[in-house]
Amino acid sequence: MTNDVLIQVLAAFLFTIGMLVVLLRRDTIMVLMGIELLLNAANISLVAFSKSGGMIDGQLQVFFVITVAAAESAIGLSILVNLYRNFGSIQTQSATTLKG
Amino acid sequence: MNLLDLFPIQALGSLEYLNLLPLFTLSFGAIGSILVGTHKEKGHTWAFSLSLLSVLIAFFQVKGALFSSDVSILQETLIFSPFTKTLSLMILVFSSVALIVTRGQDKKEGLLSEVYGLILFATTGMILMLSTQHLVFMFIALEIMSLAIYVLVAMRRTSSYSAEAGLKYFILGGLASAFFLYGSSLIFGATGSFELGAISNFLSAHPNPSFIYFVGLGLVLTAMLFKVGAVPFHGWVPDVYQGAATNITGFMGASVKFTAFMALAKISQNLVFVDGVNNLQWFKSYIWVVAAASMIYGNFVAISQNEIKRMLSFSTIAHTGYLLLGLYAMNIGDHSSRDMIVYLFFYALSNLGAFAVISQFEEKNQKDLTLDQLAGIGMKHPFLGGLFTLFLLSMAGIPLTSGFIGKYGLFSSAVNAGEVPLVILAVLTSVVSVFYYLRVIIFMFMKEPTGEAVTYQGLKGAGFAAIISAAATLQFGLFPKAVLSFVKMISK
Repeated sequence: MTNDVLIQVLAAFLFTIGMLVVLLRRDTIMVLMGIELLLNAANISLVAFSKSGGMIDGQLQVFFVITVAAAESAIGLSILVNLYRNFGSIQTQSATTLKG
Repeated sequence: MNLLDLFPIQALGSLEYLNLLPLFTLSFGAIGSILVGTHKEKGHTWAFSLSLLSVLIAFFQVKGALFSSDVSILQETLIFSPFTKTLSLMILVFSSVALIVTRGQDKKEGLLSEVYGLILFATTGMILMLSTQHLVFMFIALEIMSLAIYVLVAMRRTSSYSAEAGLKYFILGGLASAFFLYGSSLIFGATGSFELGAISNFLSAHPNPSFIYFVGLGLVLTAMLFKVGAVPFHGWVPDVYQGAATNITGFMGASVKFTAFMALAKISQNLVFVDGVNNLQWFKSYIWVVAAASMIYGNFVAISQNEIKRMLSFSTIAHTGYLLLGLYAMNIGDHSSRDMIVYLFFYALSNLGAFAVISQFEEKNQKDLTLDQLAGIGMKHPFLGGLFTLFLLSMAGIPLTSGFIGKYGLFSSAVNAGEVPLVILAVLTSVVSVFYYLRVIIFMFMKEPTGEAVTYQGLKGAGFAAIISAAATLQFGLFPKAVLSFVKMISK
């Protein structure tokens, strides 16, 4: 396999791990880290595609994505604090009052 | 490689500034209203006035530049045409109604004054999303919108329901956004462009795109179907509708749905409904199955609900199903997305009004109104009961209300597109929907109040917003011609 393909495989692998973390872990901090991992996997893939295609678009977009990811984790942490105040725990299974 | 050669710095002309001006107004208005909101006593009033003022100024700025010639900024990343500007006008109408509903509700629910600034930030993101043709820019606009909405949902800080809803929406929304980004990266890898138009041209020239294109398309479509709340990605909808403050629920149900649907329409028009490309029929049947499942699931689960916000959340899933029909009608003749726009516009207005009425009867931090609590309200408060009846009838699609006009246009153009089985399903399930809408009306007017009665909160803002929405619902239901011909003209 060439390097281009290997990097794409790496990105897909990281994306899968991130998705599993988001879906399976009960700790909301880990879920937040999973979302970050997902976005970073997408970043790797963007950079690699724009390198192999000889276009710079993808590499430039990554800067914006990094900024968005930072904002997203800030908001995620504040939602976490709010969750802890109301439930006294940050486990996802503690917050199950809405059903029906 | 020199960056300046690749991306020459364009000096923006006066026409470009004219079109960008509403976005500046909204963002600076948002920052300003967060700043003045810090005042101890008058904070809420000032933040409300400033944010409403900036939305109105932005409205007239867009309206003033409505028919100026088309502008595209950064090689078609942002496009301002009469079409996108009309969509922006609709979003601004929803936002101003949502701001008016929030007035009064903010004190009752203990929302901080930042709620006004956040609504404006979300509006900015929506307008950017409606004006772009670029996949990654669409992701950024989606995040500007969603990040503000996550905070708005979690904003009832003393309510555990709100914290839970915020968490659920954040986690699932973050997952969907990441899907969208990775999907657009894969599409970029397969086609070499982020521009929807360029990708569409590439597909017409290369009818056998590589495998990763289909994976990317699947991810992007899944993310957008999540954002519009279609089955099987609807898990967050009922919880978020119940947990968020009622004014925010109305805003979300109207604007977020409108924006996400228009983005989904753009994406599927350019990436899925391209003639002559192999294997794309799989994605068409994917949308078909999702539409059918949303109609059936939404309507039948709504029947068994006893809580009014939860019932409306399932009915919104059903409306998502009807709207997915519009994707098929879009590519026949000169129809484009105009039936979807009309339907969404009318539906959003009745949605905003319905939630405004609900917020008039809710206590602080209450989870939901049950149907038993609604019993007898229509006799006690005939005016509000009448307005709520009107909104419910409009959602059910009864003639003389705007909902009927929207539904009729959507279904008839879907029939023209040859989607007869799906339309039959839609008509049958909307007959089912009449049952649960009418049940609420029966509870309001024909049952004796039982046990715990609700108190009328007397919010001026919500009452005013309900009257505006009701006037629009009746006006467009009785005299729809002006809107229909206008939308037809701009969507050519």
